[in-house]
Amino acid sequence: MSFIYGCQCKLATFKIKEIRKMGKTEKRFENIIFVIFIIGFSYLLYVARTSESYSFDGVASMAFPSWIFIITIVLCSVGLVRNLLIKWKETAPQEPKTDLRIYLSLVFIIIYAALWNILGFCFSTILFLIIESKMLRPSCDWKKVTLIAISMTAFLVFIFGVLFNVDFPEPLIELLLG
Amino acid sequence: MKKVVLMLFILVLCSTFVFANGSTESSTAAKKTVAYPTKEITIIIPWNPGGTNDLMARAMQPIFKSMYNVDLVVKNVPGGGSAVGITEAMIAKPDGYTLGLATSSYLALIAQGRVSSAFDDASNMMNVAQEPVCLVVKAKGKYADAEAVIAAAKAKSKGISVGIPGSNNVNQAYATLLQEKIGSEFNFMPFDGGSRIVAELIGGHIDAGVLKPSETITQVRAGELAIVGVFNKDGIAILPEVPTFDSLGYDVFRLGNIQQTAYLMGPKGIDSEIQTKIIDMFTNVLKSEEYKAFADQVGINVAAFSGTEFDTFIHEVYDGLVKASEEIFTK
Amino acid sequence: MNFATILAGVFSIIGNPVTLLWILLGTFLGLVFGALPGLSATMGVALLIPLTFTLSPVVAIGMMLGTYIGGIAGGAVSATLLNIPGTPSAVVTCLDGHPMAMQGKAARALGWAAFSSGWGSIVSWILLITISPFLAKMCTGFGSPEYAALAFFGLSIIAAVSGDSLIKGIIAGLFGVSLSFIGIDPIWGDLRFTFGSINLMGGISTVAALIGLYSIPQILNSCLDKDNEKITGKDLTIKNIVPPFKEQWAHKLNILRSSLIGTLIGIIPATGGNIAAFIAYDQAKRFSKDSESFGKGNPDGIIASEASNNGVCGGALIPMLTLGIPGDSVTAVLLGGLLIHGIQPGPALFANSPILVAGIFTTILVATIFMVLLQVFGIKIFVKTLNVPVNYLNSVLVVLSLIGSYAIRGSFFDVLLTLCFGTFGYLLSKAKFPMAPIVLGLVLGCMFEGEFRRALKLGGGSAKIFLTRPIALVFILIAFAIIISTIIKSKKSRAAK
Repeated sequence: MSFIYGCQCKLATFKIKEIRKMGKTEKRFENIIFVIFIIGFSYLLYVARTSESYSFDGVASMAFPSWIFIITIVLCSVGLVRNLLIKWKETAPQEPKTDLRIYLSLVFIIIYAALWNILGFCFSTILFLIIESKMLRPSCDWKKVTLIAISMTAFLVFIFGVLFNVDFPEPLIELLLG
Repeated sequence: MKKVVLMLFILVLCSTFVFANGSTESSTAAKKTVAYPTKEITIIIPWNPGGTNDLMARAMQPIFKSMYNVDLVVKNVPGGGSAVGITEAMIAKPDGYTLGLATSSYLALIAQGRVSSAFDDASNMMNVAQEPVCLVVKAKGKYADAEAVIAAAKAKSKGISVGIPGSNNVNQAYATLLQEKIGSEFNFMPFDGGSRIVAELIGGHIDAGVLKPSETITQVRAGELAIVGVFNKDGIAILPEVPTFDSLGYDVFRLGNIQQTAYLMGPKGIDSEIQTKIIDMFTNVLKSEEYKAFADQVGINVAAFSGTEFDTFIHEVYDGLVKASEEIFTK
Repeated sequence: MNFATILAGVFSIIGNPVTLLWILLGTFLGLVFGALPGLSATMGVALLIPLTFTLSPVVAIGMMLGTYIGGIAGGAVSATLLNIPGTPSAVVTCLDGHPMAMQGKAARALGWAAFSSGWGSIVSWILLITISPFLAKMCTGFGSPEYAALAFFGLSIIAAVSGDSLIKGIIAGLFGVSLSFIGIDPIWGDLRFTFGSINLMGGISTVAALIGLYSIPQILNSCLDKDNEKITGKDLTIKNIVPPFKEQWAHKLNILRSSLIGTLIGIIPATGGNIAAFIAYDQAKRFSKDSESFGKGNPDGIIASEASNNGVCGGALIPMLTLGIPGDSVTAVLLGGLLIHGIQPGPALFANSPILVAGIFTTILVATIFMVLLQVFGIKIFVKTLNVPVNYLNSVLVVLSLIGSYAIRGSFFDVLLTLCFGTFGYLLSKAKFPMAPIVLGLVLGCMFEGEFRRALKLGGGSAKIFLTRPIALVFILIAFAIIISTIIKSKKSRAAK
């Protein structure tokens, strides 16, 4: 019910041409999120509607999710339409463009996780720590970076692997040593 | 500086060598003669820590240590109604050092086709504990015995609310079989777990619950709850005065002798000699005085048996659950 | 229980330095587990079960209780310093703790966290030792309608943690609720949105989602920051850390209210610190004269969150000790630990082994004192993590986050889940969506749905059942009052602009 209330509240204020502070980046990303949500939740609604919904008595298993999905789609559409229709007064200062290195970091994180199952935890962690810290600050000395990466990995393996019994994947080491 | 780097790197390599060497030794040893166990045995519990199955395994740890000088490592891998943990045990290296403690819940998942693996995809080794499910009501409450509950259910269809921990399991199967026999319907209330049902029963929110003795023994001993009927033919060893539904004249065994059971399993392809050793070790531990004292206190009914007796039993449970999933459960 | 047995129980703990040492060790371990993202108090307590076999029951329980109390309190450290909650119940601490640290008051923020954790623990301890049998009745007074009403009440405070934009907060909350649908249907047991994966059958792991949504975006957004100004020993005197007792006294109402909320929520099984912290935060904000500064580094926000989530510790012990019903996942493990030591909790425990009960009560107080002391001295070390150059800190944090999500149950699937949440969370953070409502929705969504449908079933398909249950009715009325006042407030603030 709270959602319906919120929804009505928003719809009511929709008519007022309001001026809100919002940066360009925020608005662009907001639109992206709204579109992702609308597509994603429409798909989920389709799944909910097409799969079998059990009900011997009372509320069927897919009924409640369907309601929530519909409300979310409606709210996102309202947000999107508002963003597209209303002229925003851009009082927020122009934000600098997102640095490429942030996206690169994200890619590195994903590659790093994937490497767990190939190189194993130890080696991929050393590699990741070296490359990531060096990339974020190229002025760092290679030797220092490598030293820190190796000692940090040894420390983490000792704490988690030995003391806390976490069973890390080490396929490469297992392969090499039988 | 260089020296330090080198030292550290060597240290890391050495430590990995030590780990890896442990496993190589054991696997080559296993091929020649059966020197088992040479290192710790991991037992995967497919549930969260703190539950009955978790306790069952943890209570074995000190006895394993004192009887065989072996470390038994309990690894909790919860998720998917035990499917995640058991799958991990099934795909482990078949060297006998990774085992799993599966329950009838997993058999129900196979019976319903919810997991891709079949009944025979694992080596099912031996039974560990077996618990009947019971009808539980509030002590000194509205219902004095099972007949009172049944009479109330007959008087008004869906008038009696019956709590079940989860759904599509042995508990639900027996409650459904009972309502078939009395020709009236219960209002089923599935909850997330046994402890919620205990609280709901004490608070008087629901009329009855279908639970295992180990889930209620604390409150039964404290006089808060009462077990009024057992869904099996032999009753409960720790509470012999409780009548069975068989003795009350309700034949709820149309699907065969389905029971809540916990059994030891492992990946397929474990050396048969090692398998025999595992079964021997676990049987001795389970039959020890120490373990019996623990089990009685917690309310677990230890039932350690293996071989053909186990095969017949586990197949009977499985077949009953297959029938139940065709006739009773949701898909 | 007469006075002599109580005294004997008390002295069995404080008269024995070895016992005290074990409790100290347990508390320390708990703080470490709590402070590291992904390692939770539950995991710490579970790890201790085999270790405590060789110890006597009271010592073992004392050690586990120390881990429990330390683990819940430790979550505030990473929440404040790094904006990454160490445990799920520290999500709310991020809201004010991190802004306060950004203003250069990290040490004081942690000092507030430590002391309010201590007060929360002590208030719930007092209730535990005085009126626990009475409060245990409250635990069994909660049936499905009451749970549903409580969850509804919890969801109604999404607005309070939404930040600037209400609509984005609500959408985030709905996203969290939708995530909670994944898994087995709470009533009929059929599979929903699992897409054939057994890993999704158990639902989305809260910890994996938490790490993904909080730590990955935070790391990415701060990885190019300049290094922090070096914090030297001079800034970290006890005077700078410990909030003056005069100031603590000024916040007495907030401390007491939040601790009570925590204790009461803790008594109700299957709720936990997360919900308590959200409710206490909302109440603190409502009662505060300066509600605008919440979310911008108001110490009252930290106090509400930490006092309530540590209040839950004492609260959760009440049904466990008096009825043998665990209040949350940690007490479930504690109960297992008691059973393995041959101790059967329940009413008989108080009659049969009063010395043990008095001992357990004493250990809670001792562990609480240790927790506060360890934190006060530990803060000097914790805060220095901010001195680490940003490039190293962030890359190590990535590794720690992935280890955290992996370590919960040793599953690589959870790592993948964390990465998915992390990537999406980064987009959400760019669009300035608040994260707290997602966590609230994820935790309360399935609870609300399951209990609501169960309550309807209990009422024979009619919602009239809520009108016949006074506790449920009160919660629903409060929830509506909150929703209406939020709408009025947001209209007013719009008009003011």
